[in-house]
Amino acid sequence: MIKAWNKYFALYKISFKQAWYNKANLSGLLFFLFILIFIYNRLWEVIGIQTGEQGINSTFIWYLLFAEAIILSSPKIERTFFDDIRSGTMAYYINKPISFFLMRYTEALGNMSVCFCLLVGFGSLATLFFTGQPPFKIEHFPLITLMCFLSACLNTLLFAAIGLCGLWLHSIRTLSMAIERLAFIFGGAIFPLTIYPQWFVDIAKWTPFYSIYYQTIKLVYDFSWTNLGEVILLNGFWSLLFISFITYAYSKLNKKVNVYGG
Amino acid sequence: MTDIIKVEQLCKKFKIKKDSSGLKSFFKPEYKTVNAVDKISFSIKKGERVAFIGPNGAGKSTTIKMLSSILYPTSGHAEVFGLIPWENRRTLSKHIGTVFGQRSQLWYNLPVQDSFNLLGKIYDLDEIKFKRRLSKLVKLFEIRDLLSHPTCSLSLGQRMRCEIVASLIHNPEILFLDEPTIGLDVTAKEIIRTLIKKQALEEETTLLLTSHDTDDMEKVCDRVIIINKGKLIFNDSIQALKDSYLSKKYIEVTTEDGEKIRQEINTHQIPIKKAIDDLVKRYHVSDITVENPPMEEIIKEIYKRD
Repeated sequence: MIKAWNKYFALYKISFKQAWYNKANLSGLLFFLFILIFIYNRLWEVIGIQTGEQGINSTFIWYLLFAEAIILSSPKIERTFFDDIRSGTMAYYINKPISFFLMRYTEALGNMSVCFCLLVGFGSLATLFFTGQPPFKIEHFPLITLMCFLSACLNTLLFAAIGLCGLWLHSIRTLSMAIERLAFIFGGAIFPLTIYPQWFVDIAKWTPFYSIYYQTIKLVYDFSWTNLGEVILLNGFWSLLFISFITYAYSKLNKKVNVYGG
Repeated sequence: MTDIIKVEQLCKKFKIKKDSSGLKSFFKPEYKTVNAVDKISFSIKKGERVAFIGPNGAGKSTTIKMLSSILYPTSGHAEVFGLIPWENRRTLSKHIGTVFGQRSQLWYNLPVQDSFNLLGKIYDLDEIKFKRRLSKLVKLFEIRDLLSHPTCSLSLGQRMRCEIVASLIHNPEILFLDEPTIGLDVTAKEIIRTLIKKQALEEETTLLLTSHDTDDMEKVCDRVIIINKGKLIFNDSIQALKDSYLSKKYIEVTTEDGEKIRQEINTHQIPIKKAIDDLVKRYHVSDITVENPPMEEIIKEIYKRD
C-alpha cells in the first residue's frame, strides 16, 4: 500500500523541486502580494481612522493575506486537464501503472505548496511590518496556516474537476472564469462576508466557496475549536462531493478517451 | 512458439463531427463514421520483430493503440500476453513498453535521469534492480552523456534514444514502437534502427513497429504486415516482400556538375552492385543514394497483383 503511494510522493517531490526553478514567476507573485498588502493596508488604515476602530487594518490584512495565499498559489490545473483531454495526451499515460488524475493532481500540489509557503512566509513578514500585532494568538498560527493549506488543496481539487469537464465541453474558459468570479464574491476573497448583507451570506453558505475561503480564513480573527471543527466538517463534505464527481468523470473519460486519442 | 499477440476481426470506427456552422449544427450536429481499422486478424509469436507498415491514415497507430491498451475497439477481439488489453490496463502495463515517435513520455523540463527515476517509481521497481537495469540500457543505447540534460535540450535523435530506454526500463516482453524514426535524419534513423534491433535480439523482446518508411522494416524486422485503409493486405516475411515487391530500387546519382540522374532498376535482372558500378563508370559521381520504392507504390503493386 505504502509502495503504491511512493510514486505519487516522488512526483510531488520533483514538482516541488521544479517550482523553485521558475524564479521569475515566484518573484512576480511576491511582488504582487506586497503591492496588494501595501494598498489595502492604507485603505483599511483610513477606514479605521474614520470609523474610530483602531487595529481594523491588522484583522483585514491578515485575512487578505491568507485569502490571497489560497488564490494565488492555485495552479491552473483546469487548463492542464482540459489540454490533456483534448489533445489526447492523457491517452499516452493511461497504459502506465499510475492514475493519470492523481499524477497530475500531485504535480499541481507540489507546485502549489511552494507558492503557498512562500506567499504565507513572505506575506506574514510584510503584514507584521505594516500592521504590527496579528489578530490571532501566535500559537494558533501553524494551525491556521495548515487549514488554509488544506483549503488550497481543496480549491485545486475543485478546479481539477472543472478541467475534467473537458470531456463534455469544447471550452472550459467561461466555466472556470465564472467559478473564479463566484469564488471571489461568495468566498469573500477580498473582503470578509461580514461586511455583506445577511441575505447574501445565506446564499453564499450553500456554495463550496463559503467554507473553502471564508470559513477557513475567518479563523484568522475568530479562532475557536468549534469554528475549526466546522471548517473540517464542511470542507470534508465538499471534498467528498468533488471526489465523487471526479471518480464518475474519470471512469467515463477512461473509455471515451479514444475519441481524442486515436 | 506460442502466440504472444492474437488479433481477430479487430475493428475501430471513429465518429467525427461534420464541419458545419450555423444554428442547425449547434442543436443537431451531424457525424460521419470513419473505419480506421476494418476487421484485421493476425498473430505474433514471442520474440518476433514485426513491422506494421502502411501509408498515413492506414490504421497502424490506431491498431497499436488498441493493442497497447490505450483505445477501446468498436468490435473484435485481441489478446496480448493472454490478456485483453483494454480491460487489463494495469496488469498489462508491466509487460509492455510503448514508444510514440510524436509524443514524449519524459518530463520536458527535467533532466533525463530524473525522468528515468520517476518511471522506476511508477513501475514500482526495486531500487537495486532498477539501477542495474538502467545501467545496462544506458550502456546499450549510449546515453550516459545525456542523463544530466533536461529533455527539452536534447536533439530529436537523442530524445528518441532516451524514449526507448524509458520504455524498456521495466524490462517489458513486448515493445510497441509507433513511428520511432519519424522526423529523424538519415544517420539518426540508422542509429535508432541498429539499437532497437540489438536490444530486441539481446533480450528476446517481441517488437511491433509501425512506420511508413520501408527501410525501418528492412533493417529491424523479420516479418511485415501491410495495412491500407484499415484493411490488412500483406502478412509475410520480409524476404517474401523483398522477393515480390521490393525488387525495384531507385538509384539517384549527383554528378560533379550538380546534375541529378535517377534510374530505376530491377534487382532480379541487374544486381545493385553492377548497376552502381555502371553509373560510376559513366558519370563523374559526387553523391549516390539508393532508395526503396515508396509505400504507396508497393501497395499499388500488391493490389495490382491481387
